[in-house]
Amino acid sequence: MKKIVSLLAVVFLLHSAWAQKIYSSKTGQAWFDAGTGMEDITGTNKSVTCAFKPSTGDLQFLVKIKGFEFWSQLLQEHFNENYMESDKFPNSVFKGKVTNIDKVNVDKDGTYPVNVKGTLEIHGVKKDVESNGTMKVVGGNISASSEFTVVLEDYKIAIPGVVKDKLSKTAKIKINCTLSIAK
Amino acid sequence: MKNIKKVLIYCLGLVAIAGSIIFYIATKKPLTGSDNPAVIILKADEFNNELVKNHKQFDSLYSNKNIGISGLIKELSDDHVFINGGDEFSINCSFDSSNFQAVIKSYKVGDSINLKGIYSGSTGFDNQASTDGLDMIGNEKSAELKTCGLNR
Repeated sequence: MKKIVSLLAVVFLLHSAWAQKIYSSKTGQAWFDAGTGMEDITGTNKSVTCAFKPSTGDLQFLVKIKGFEFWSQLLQEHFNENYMESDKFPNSVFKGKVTNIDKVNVDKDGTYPVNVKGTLEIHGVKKDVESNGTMKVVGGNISASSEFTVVLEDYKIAIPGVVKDKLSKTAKIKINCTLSIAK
Repeated sequence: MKNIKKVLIYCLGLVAIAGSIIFYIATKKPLTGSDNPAVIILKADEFNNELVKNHKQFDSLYSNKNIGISGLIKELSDDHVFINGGDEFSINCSFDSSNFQAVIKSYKVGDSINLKGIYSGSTGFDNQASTDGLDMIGNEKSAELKTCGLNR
């Protein structure tokens, strides 16, 4: 009897420890498109930090604004100095949850559609956002991806009149992270 | 009549020159770490010391500049080289795929490497992540470089 109780206690503790595991990545990618079609206004960031806790569904990511890469020097300068003011607001962050976490089994390979809800901070302004995404579990790793559409004005990103034909009032943002258990 | 022609030609010439300058500025590619010399070269632990001392000053001096780092490889993955900077500090250098292939052909985890890349900033030196409430990402100290290359 004592042996059974001890074994059950060990199994319970191991399960609890496992359930509290955090999956993370420092090589996530963020991509945005804020163009109207007249000009390429896209940027890519390859060093997004992401973290996910399956037991609670908590999801967080941090994007360094100066980490975005562009096709032109001028676009990079305008992005950092005029639109995003990256010296003042160096990071964009998301803190939220996968709201249907009960439908995601991180121990079983598969592709799981997810709903994501939380607070997105851009240019020093926080807004509640909600979106759909997917989590693909393969061999213990999780590839998470989601898309958001944001209204630039909501985040106090001013569009000068001279570029209003080139720069859209909204921006599409995609985030991809391949997460593994944090060491 | 001749004078008007001359003036017209000069004006067209000026417009052509101005147009060329504007085109050059508008289409000039951004500085990349792999294709340009580093403005400063640091060992990984020296880099950590500089950021601990005053990361804001370092950022103001070297943001979007090409910096060279030497140190031991902690991790190689997803077109990234992570260098161990000691004291729970790591440097995350992102490459394009072709440059990364050149790295993994010649290097493995634990090897000493000299890299250069455009400095994007640092995390964890002023509790910013804690302030943002990112408890899972936390205050792990790191610095990010982009468009990296080997610093030969």
